[in-house]
Amino acid sequence: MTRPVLCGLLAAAATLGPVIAGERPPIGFEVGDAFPVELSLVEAATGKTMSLAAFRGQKVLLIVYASW
Amino acid sequence: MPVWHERTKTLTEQGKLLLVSVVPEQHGERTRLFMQWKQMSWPTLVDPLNLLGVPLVPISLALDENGVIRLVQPMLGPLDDLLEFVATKFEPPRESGEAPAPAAAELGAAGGDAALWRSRGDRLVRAGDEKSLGRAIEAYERALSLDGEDPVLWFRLGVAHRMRYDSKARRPEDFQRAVGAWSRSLALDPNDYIVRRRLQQYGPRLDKPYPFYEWVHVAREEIAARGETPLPLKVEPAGSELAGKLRTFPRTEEPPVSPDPDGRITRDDKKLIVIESTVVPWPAEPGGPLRVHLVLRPSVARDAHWNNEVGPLRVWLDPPDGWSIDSRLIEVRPGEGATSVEIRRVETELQAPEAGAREPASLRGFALYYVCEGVQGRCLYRRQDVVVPLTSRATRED
Repeated sequence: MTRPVLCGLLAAAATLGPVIAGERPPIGFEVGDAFPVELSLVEAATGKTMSLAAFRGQKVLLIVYASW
Repeated sequence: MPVWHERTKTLTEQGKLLLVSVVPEQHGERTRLFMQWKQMSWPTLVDPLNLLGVPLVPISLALDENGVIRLVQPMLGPLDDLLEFVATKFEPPRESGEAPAPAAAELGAAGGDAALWRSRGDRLVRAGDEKSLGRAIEAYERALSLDGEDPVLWFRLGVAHRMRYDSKARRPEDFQRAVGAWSRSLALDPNDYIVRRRLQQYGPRLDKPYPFYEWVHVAREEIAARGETPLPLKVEPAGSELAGKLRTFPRTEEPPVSPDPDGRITRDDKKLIVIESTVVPWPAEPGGPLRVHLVLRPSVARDAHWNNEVGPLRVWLDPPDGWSIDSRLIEVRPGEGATSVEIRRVETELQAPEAGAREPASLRGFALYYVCEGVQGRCLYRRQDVVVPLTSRATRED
């Protein structure tokens, strides 16, 4: 799914337009918000449940993408 | 490797930044195969219910050590912003009532009992066992009885139905109920990208942006070429999930001839083959396309088997007046060996009347197949009639 992932990035860029502060459409997250780190989900590789709270103390780059 | 990994590789190798992914995928093992293919070794979490509430993908967020969002969509901006984020020491949020506001995803739908039943449904789906799926469906339905206009609830009900359909606890109607729930969700919030893609995944080619899982066979080839064994999939993508986009509805040049126009072939009254049907989307838009999924399963109770020694499975379909159809006669190749028990799938597409169907309509047809009752039992040539209810928005009953 390389093409759809990259297309998603490009499409998102096209959708979001130029990178100008304040002009991006809302995505439900704002700078300064507390991310719901306690939310637990299944890790794809292990099948075990984990949450982002496990990564407290580290800087995290979170990417939400599609494998479809 | 995905674009963002190339940009952040040095930071992650230095331990200054941790890459984590979340994927809103109905079939989590497909994400696992994708990760294996792209050699992605960082933590990736699967979110079939879209508990994060993301309205689109991809999204990138930079979270500080305390889980506070410091950058939104940093991967679309200059790398310098991310470098500055990594170099900055952020103070923990203050506790005196000035804690950062919870992200929109946490606020959820309107409060009250509907929210409680929704939370219960979410927990039961995430429990991961088949028994819990039925209880999750009940919880979501209870929530919907209190708030029937919540698109998130309809989406998650659909996810739960599809999960049960893919499990041993499956009910034949689960796939159609999933499609109906997703269609309802999209009608309530037509801007929800995740729901739209979930329907398009199983829907007609005219409404398809690209072949969703075309990458799977490429992934398997490249993984095998590396000397690895591709990770297995619980549910193989097929048919509509692999189909590409069409720009115009296909027109048949020469109408085929019905293989049994007078209905002379003996009917499969014992239902040695169980046939299920699902229509995507539900309902269709006036003049819009829809995809019909037929699933044919040898009956386990009757120890039925396909007989592969004579000829293929053939399915003949007659569209109702005013509807167009892609393929009227469909053949499915025989399986491996003299007999087999695999599930066989037949898919075709229809186009609804432009003005919408004024009356409920049905796609009628039949399947012709060679089937044996028991591996050493009698092998027969049988016909089973098929009736698939159709509806377009002009006739949908709410």
